[in-house]
Amino acid sequence: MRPLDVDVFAARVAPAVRAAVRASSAATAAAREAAFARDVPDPAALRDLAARIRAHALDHLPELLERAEERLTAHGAHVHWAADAGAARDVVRRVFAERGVTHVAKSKSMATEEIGLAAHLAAHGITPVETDLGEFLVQIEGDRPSHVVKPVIHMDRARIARAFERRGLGPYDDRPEEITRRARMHLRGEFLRAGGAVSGANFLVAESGRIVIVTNEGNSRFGLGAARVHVAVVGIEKLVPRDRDLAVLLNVLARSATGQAFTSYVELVQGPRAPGRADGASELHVVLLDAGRSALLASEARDVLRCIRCGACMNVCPVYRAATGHAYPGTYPGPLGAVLAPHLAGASAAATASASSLCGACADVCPVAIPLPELIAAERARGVAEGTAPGPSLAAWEALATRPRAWRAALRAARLLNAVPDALAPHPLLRAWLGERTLPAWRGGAFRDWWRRRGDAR
Amino acid sequence: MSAPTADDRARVLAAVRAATARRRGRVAAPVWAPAASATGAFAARGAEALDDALRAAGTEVLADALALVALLEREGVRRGYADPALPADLLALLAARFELATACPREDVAAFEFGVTRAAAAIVETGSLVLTDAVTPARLAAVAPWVHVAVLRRADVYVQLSDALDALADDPNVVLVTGPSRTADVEGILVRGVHGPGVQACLQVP
Repeated sequence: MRPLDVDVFAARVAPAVRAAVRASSAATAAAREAAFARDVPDPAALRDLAARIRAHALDHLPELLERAEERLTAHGAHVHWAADAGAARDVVRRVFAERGVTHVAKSKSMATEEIGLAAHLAAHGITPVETDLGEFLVQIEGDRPSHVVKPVIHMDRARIARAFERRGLGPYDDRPEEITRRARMHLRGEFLRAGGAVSGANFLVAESGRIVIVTNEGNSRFGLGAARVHVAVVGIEKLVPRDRDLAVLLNVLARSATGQAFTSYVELVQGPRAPGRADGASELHVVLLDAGRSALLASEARDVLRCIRCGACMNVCPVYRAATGHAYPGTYPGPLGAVLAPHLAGASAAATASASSLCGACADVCPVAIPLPELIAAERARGVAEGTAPGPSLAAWEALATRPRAWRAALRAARLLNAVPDALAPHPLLRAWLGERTLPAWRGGAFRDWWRRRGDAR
Repeated sequence: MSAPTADDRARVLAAVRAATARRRGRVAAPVWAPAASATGAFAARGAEALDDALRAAGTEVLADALALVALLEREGVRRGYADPALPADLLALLAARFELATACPREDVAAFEFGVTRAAAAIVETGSLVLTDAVTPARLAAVAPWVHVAVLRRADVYVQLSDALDALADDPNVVLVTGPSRTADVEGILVRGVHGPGVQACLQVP
């Protein structure tokens, strides 16, 4: 990633998309605030408790991972470990391929997004169908999610209706109720065709081995009920010690994510279905995914692993609201992505960390008290130290400014710039900037000429 | 093809151990009373607030079997599933007025317009119904039809979410159902009934 790509992207966002993202983010941020004010007697205390539950879990991750593995195995699940994204993709593909599964129903999962699972399965003859309405739209549009909770925050109803029409889901109709009805009809066929289900997990409880999957649509409930084989891809940081800890985390998650008091479906999966039961997968595979997380745990940015993916930080972020989610490299946008992308997506530390005004709004709303501005500033410092800091190099200016003859020649020569079309500007950043602006003609050196002539005349 | 994951297990655990071992002053397990996680206005009022909590979550509360019949008629649904373990008089009442099946096979699930199942419990704090594989094995009958009615015994009520989670028995699949299926993916406009029921109801029996 080149430095400041976020800015370049932001300059190109269509005004209507920017306005929609801004309005939706602001509405959710307001709903979050109202929900906490209405329902939580002491929001600071609850947040402190949520933060301590997550911090404690991260500090005791080895024990908790082993305990969860032991519990899951005892309940008949298969536990796989994946050090990197490639290993995780291979495990999932092999599980399905060895069982002759050709269609899988996916529920929304940032971890599978992160490892590029859907494309990998498709390339190996296993058809993945996204079943969350937003993710389904992302899939049929060949797009990518622009928000961790609201993947199509950047699409308006007209675009969605056109996408459905192209997909053969009926003639153009942009009413949200009709779009939802058609998705229901279409995707239920996919649920029943699918032999496999893929999910992520919001949490994994060590003491019980329960995987927690949270949805409003009920798509994971349908998918897991109808599939023969369920594979859950779970980041190793998702551990919590006890079932009761979920009471704290689920209460802050729903309110922070959407302003709802509670999410419609909270599913707790402990193993394959019992013998003799008709519904539910007869095999459960849990893939514990590292892919940069253990290195992140050893780094200064470790606190970001507390994250419960509510999206509150992006909803309040002025840079996210202006640039929109697609401006960020990697899977996770906003302040969260600014910290995660250098560690999980291989982005340069400075590229995303510079896309922040360090205003602190994200830290105020984070339900697990991640010090995001401090972490972003630290990434920025790391980027400077590693020589990937953004901003123009001053080396050329320095060379000219310390050599008067070269300086004069350069000023005169620069008039040639007036003849260069904007599209041929020598740097993508400059091109993008010029695409939005008109420069005055270069008049460099004119003052010197005038001053000299004035001196001669006297 | 990547290496078998036994190797990855050792690698990941070693890396995680190294990362946590060098931490000084590891955060202790927080100790907290159930009240610390309590949210909303309903838990403080105890079990009698359940109906209000369910309604606030978008779940319709049915006073008796006749209210259930009225709901199904209002929604214009004809064909449905009922758990054979439900009280015999309730099953008889439904069978007399609707096309009723006591199994909901995967391949026919699209034909079912309503499902009447049992709930293991309810939670006042969140207005949730607790469905477990032990009590509600017909998972698809509780999620696929347009109308889902969970039949709850009045004794099976937890006041706080943390109480309900503390009491969870081992079960392959438990779901907390809090209102109908919903989405706001299209321009943030709330629409009910995406993949799960558009109408979620609870019938309480003694």
